[in-house]
Amino acid sequence: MAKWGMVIDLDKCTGCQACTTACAMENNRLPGENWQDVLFYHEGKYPSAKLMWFPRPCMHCEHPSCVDVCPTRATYKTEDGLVLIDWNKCIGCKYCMIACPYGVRFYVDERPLVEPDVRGVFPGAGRGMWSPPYRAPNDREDWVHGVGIQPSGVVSKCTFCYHKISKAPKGVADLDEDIPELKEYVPACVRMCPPKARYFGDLDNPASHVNKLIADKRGVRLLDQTGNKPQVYYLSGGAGASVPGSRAAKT
Amino acid sequence: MNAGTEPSPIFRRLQPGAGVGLRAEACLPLRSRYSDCNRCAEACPVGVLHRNGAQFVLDDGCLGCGRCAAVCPMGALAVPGFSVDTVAAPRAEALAVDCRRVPAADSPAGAVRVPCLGGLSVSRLLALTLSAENRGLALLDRGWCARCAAGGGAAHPAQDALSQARALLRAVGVADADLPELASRPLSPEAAAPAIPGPEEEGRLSRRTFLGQLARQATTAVSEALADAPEPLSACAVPAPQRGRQGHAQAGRTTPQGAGLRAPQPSLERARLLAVLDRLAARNGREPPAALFPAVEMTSACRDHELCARLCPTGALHVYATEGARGVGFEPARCIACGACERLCPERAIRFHPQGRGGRPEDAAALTRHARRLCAECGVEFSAAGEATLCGACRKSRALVKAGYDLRFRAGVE
Repeated sequence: MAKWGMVIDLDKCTGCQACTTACAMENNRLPGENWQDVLFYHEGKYPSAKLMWFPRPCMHCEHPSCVDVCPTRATYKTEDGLVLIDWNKCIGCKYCMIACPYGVRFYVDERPLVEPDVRGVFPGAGRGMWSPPYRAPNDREDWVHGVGIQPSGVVSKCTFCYHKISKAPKGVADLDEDIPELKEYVPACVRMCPPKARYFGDLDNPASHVNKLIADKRGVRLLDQTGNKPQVYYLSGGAGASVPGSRAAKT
Repeated sequence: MNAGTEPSPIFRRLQPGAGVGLRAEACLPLRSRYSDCNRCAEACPVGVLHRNGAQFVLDDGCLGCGRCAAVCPMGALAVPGFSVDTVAAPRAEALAVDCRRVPAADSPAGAVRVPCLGGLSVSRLLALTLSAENRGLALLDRGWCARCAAGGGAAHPAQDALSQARALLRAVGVADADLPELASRPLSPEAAAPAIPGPEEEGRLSRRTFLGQLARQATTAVSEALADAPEPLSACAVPAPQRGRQGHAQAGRTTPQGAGLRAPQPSLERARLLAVLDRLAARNGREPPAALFPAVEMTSACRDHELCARLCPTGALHVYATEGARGVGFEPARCIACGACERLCPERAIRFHPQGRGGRPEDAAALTRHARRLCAECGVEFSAAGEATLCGACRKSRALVKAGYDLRFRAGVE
C-alpha cells in the first residue's frame, strides 16, 4: 500500500494557476469552485505592500479532522492514504468543512456564482449540478470515491485525481510526468505545473523522490499544530533572505 | 392504508421472514455517529438483535415479543400484533390485555391479545388506556413471565413502561382507578403455548398482512399526531438562502440512503404519546407535564454553523430565516431528548435540559438570532460575530496564506 503525498516547492511556484485550470478541466468543476486553487492576498500599501500567494490542494491528512467528525462516515481515509467522500452517504451537513483547518472542502449549492449562473446555461442531467461543455468521460462518475460531476446536496473535495492514480502500477515510488509510461497516472495539477513545482509520490517508500525532497530541502507541513499531519509538504529555501532588509515585509 | 398527506413510513423486514421491521432512516445510530443508542439490542431478551456498524443483524431465534420496538425512542422498529385499533365494545370491567401464549379460550372475552406485554411501549399503554374509556386497564400477569424466554428477570417485562405510563397519566389528571395496572391472574404454566404464536396462528392476522399491519400502526400514529400537533415552526423555515436553481430539495438526486438520512424523521413513538396525552389532558382540563418538553439553551459561543439543526434527527431544531437574520429554532414537541445537539456542537455552545426547565415551553421558539453580512472577500452571506468582515472560509484561507508566506520569507523577516 502506498501513502500518496505531494510536495510543492514554493520557491518554484509562480502563481500562474495552471494547476487550478487543470483541476477545473479534469474534475468538471464549476467556475470558481476548483478543488485546487492558488490563494492570492495583498497586504499593506505601497511601498511596503506585499503580495502573497499560496497553492492549496487538499492536504489528505494522516489524521484528518474531517473524517473524525463526519456523522454518516461518508468521508473516509483509504488504504493508499487518500481522504475521499462517498457521495452516496454524504448528507451535506458541512461538519467536515467546519472541521477542516485548510478550507479545502466545497459545498456549492448555496454559493452565488459568477453571472450568468453556468448551472442554468448548461443544466445538469439528472443528478449532476451541471453539464460542462468540456465534460470528462462518463466513466469518471464514481460516487463512492467522490469522482465526477458534483451532485447537489453533497460536499466535494480534491481526490488527488483518484481516477488516475488508482490505475497506476502497484509499487511505483513516484508518479512523474517525465516518466513516459507513468504520465497518464499523474494528478492533473502536478502534470500541468509549468515550473514543475509539484511532485507526487509514495511517502512510505524511502527511495521515492518526494521523500528525498522533503529530507533535503526540509519540507514543512503547514498548520502542523492542528495535529492533522498533512501529506502535502511545502518546500522553501527561504528565498526571502535575498530581499533587501529595507524592503522586506514587516509582519 | 391512510390516504393522508404524509407519506406512510416504510418498515423493512430485518431479514426475510423476520417478525421485526426497521425504518432505517429513523434509527438514531444509523443516522449519525453522534448517537450511541443501543436500546433495542439491550432490550432483546434473547440477545439476537445486534447492530454491526451500519447494519442491523437479527440472528435466528427472534421471539417476536416486540420488546425492542417498545423501547425505541424513534419508533423506528415495528413488530406486528401491537395495534390497538381493535378494542371491543365497552364493558363494565377493566379492559384486559393478555399475553398470546395464553390459550385464547382462557383470555377474558374482549381482551386485547398481544405477543408479549413487555412489547407495549409507553405510548401504546397510554393509547390502550384512552380506548378503555375510563374502565381501567388490566395487564394480566399470568405468573410465568419470569420463566418465559421473552420475560426473564425479577420484574415483570411491562413494569418499566407501566410505571412511566402511570406517572404520565396521573400528571394529566387520570383517576387512580383508571390507571393501567398489573392484575395477577395466575394460570398453570402447562397451559401456555410453547412459544409466542405467530400472527397466522392467532387468526386475526395472516402472514400476508404483515407489512400492511406495520404500516397501519405507523400511519395511525402519524394521523393522530397530525390531527393534534400544533403547526410546526419549521413549516415557515427557509432551508438556505440563495439556493441554486437545482437545490437538493428539488433535484432528488440522492440514493434512498442519503435522501432518507438528510430529511428529519418525526418520532412515531413521541407523536403517538403526545397525541394521546394531549387528548387526555384536554379532557381533564390539564396540561401535559412540563418535564416531557426538553429545553435547549444556546450560549453566546454559538457561531451559527447550524449543525445542530442539520443533524437533529427529528427536526426539533431547525433553521429559520428572516429579513437580514438567521438562526436556530426549537420545537420541544418534536424533541426526543437524545442530546445529540449538545454532543456534536463544535463550539460547545449548547446546554441541553432533557427534563425541561420547568413550565411548558413555547410550541416553537427561536434560540439564536445572527445578523447576516456579506463577506468582504468572497461576497457570500454569513452570520457575523462581532465586527468580522470575512466569512469563516475566507478567514481560514487567509490564515493559511499567512502561514505559507511566513514559511517562504521566514529568513527575510526581521
